Amino acid sequence: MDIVFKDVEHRYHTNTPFERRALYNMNLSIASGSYVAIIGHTGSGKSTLLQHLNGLLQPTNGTVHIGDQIITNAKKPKHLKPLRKKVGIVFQFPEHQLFEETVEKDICFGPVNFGIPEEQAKKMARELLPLVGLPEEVLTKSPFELSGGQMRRVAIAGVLAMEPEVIVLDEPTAGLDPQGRKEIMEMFYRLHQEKKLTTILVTHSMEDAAKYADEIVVMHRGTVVKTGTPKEIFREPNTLLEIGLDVPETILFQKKLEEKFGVTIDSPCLTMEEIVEEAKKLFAKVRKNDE
Amino acid sequence: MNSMIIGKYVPGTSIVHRMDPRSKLIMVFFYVFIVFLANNVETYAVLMIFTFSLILLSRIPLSFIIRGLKPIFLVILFTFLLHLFMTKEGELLYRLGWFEIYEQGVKQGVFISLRFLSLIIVTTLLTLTTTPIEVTDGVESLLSPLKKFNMPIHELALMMSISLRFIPTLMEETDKIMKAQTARGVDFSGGSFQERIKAIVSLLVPLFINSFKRAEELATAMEARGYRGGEGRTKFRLLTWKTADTALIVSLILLAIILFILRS
Repeated sequence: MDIVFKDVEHRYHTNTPFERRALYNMNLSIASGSYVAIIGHTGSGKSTLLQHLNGLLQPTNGTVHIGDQIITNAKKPKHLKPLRKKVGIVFQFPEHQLFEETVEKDICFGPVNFGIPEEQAKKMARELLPLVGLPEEVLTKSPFELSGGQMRRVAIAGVLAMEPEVIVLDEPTAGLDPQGRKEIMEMFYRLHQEKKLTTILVTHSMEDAAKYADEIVVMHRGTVVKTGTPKEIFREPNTLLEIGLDVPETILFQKKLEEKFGVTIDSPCLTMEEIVEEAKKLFAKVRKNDE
Repeated sequence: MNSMIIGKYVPGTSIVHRMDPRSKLIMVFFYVFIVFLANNVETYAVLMIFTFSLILLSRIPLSFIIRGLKPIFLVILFTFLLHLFMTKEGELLYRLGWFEIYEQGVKQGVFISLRFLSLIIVTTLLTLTTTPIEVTDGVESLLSPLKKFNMPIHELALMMSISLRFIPTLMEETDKIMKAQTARGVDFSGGSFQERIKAIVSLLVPLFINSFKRAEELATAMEARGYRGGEGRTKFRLLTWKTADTALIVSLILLAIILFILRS
């Protein structure tokens, strides 16, 4: 399911003194089966953007194509349910949406709403638990007995149980410990690869964006300022630093290395291994020159 | 819903905005009684002049107030019609079958509507020109004599300001949870009775749980910062009684005297 934004603009509270433009000039296309990371400062319009992905918000101007569904500012589109089944959104702090008496019921809530038979949903819940890293005995527990990290995993399982074709992740690891963070990110990446799940990740972690995404979209003050592969985006770290964003540690190290030795390394190093390799080569060259 | 202005605050620097909340509270409290003194054309005229001079002083556009009070006009219209048709005194003005309108009916209808209007405008002006925090401070200060009788006035005021403080937070959270559940296939605007109940449960449970959690966190945070109740606690915002406040109270007394003289 391809997603295309065409000249999208979104304003909150139109025709009131509180009117605010949150998005403008948004042109963006996300190919089916790709992994796209959206990075940007707080207030750059990321959350507004992702609420357009399943019709929670309608654009004030322009059109959003999601598969064969077109969303414009015309009156409230009907039949959004099939679309919402196809596009699963894991909101920030998704554990706040839990409400059922048992974990099993909560995971089944989404799929049952979309008309999947209860038995099948239960089976799916059982299968999803090991995937999100939870033991099977939590199924009969109340979600509110679990720890914060476990609740997060239940909520994620609840979205995955809808079997979406596109999954939108809004900072899925905020507030988790480093280990849990890594596990969750790896899990989504596996899903993306195995099931060809189109994945859209909103994140503040440049390391995650660089590591997992095929394409990065940089947002600033309500519009896209840059799109490209991680290598393209981080080749010019200064643009990112100027708009107040971080770049991966490896890129910063590379930049310092280049300045110190007055050289340029051709390709931006996004992983520790790459930068170590480049540094080794550089030091070898320097030593040779010294002799 | 958005145009409704009762309970909203409009920032400004007018003389009414800068007045002490206590004087405004006292004035609104007594005004509610004084309004009932008016009972003829002259007294209602004085009352309306007083009301409109208050609006002028507050520098809040009249059109804004009128637009915001639109829903109230329906209620006023209803009371007007009720009095118009139900009063059977004075000269008969119009008759159509059993349908009769009397002179007193018209008079009563107009008077009651004006009384209603003036009451609502004055009380709305209070909230339009006073922040909720100022209102609570004012209430606490005005009720503080009751502390002598062991009434928990400070706690009451604290409860008031905390609940006011969290209204926007709760609204925001409601919006967030509704969106999250909508994304999970809940339809908040339609469906059968049973589906609607389920939809509301999926909203209320998380809302309640988060509120309890937040209350606990707030209590801990307050204790960590040394909060021990109202005893010996100083104020960040000091209320100061200015000339304008005295003037307001004096004008209210004058209004009462004038109405008393002019009423029939």
